[in-house]
Amino acid sequence: MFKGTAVLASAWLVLGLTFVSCGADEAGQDAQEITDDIQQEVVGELGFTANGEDFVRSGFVSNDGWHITFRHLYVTITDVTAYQTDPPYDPHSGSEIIGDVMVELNGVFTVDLAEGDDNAEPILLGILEDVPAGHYNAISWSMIPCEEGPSKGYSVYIDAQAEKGNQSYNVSFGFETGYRYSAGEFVGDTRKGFVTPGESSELEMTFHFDHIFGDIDQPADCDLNMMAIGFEPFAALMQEGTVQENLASLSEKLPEETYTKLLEVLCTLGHTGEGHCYCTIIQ
Amino acid sequence: MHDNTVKGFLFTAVLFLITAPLFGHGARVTWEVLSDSVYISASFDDGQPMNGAQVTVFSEAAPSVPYLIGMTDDSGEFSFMPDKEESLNWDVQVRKAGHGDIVHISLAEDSATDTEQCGLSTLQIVLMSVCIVWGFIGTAFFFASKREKYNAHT
Repeated sequence: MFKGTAVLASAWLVLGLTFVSCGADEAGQDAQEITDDIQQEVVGELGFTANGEDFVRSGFVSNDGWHITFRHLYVTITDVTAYQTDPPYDPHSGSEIIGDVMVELNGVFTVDLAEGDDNAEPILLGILEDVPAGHYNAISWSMIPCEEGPSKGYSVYIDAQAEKGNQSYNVSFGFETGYRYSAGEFVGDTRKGFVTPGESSELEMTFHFDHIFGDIDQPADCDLNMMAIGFEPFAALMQEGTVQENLASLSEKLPEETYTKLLEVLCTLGHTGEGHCYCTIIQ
Repeated sequence: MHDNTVKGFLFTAVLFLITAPLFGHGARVTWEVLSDSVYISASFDDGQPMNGAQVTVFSEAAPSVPYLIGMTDDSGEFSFMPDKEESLNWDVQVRKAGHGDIVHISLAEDSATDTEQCGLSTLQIVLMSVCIVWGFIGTAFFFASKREKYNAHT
């Protein structure tokens, strides 16, 4: 009887130890997670910039041959948030970003993307100090109507000159709709968003205005030029050398197909470098 | 006045129709791992292949420094053989004419399976199996010995 009980006890002891050892491994994993949390407390700096790229600062020729130079190009940006996501965010997923780490730049920023020459740096909106270290591989922001200043009432305000042959127009477009852009990792010459202790990193909100007017330097049948409206539909609205419109007036004056296309194109303005965004209209 | 009302309604209606989430246009990059190679296929959103696009490969070990730079072929495709000793996680960026995308490739399916088994090594799994088997055999011996004693009594 004693021998049988000893066998049973040893068998159950071994079973118990087996499961405890597995549990201990899980405890080890917990300890690793805590270490990871401590690692997260290592901090660095993260800057946020806005960039209309060279062709906004130096002008460009639309897909239908209009040379457009921008005196001012105001956009109003807010709700700027950077994320560390795993798995990386995919804007094609059609969903909002869910981040493991999330930092927000507070404030509303109206910037003139036409400011500076060809070599100007992107416009710095602000720097967050002491953000957790890691790779900020997603960003979201909103573009909302400005509350004061020359672009009051508009999320995007274009003040430009459009010329073709002997035609020259003062152009003023205001777009009153708000947009929410969600992007994954910056796509460009360098990778961005790696925050390391004592080092500054940055993320960029990039705006592709060639999507509205097209680009004569690209093939006529390329994705960009097939999507763009060009400038001719706007030139047709000319009054005494001036085109001054907003979305409400354009909805009345442009052909319905062109106006719908314009709304779609405005949703594609936001990028991070060359990486595109998931966009929703918010206002 | 009536005309303006109708146009205002149309403006609102079109804006309403477009309030569904939209995607910016751009590039789509897909990947596949076959044998020891990673195969990349890149196209624009309209389906045209991104031929002659710049491809930059990064390893997780040095994520800011290009591991390899190349170019897609006429079909928008590119392949490379990652060094698994260096990293099991790779990022590949494809860019052309102001459009681009980056994809993240994990070669670590095997280690993912290990994780589901609470990260045990092969030796641990063998030992656990032996212990579990011994646990059941020991229990069986206990009840078998009790039955023998019961039969002996009867």
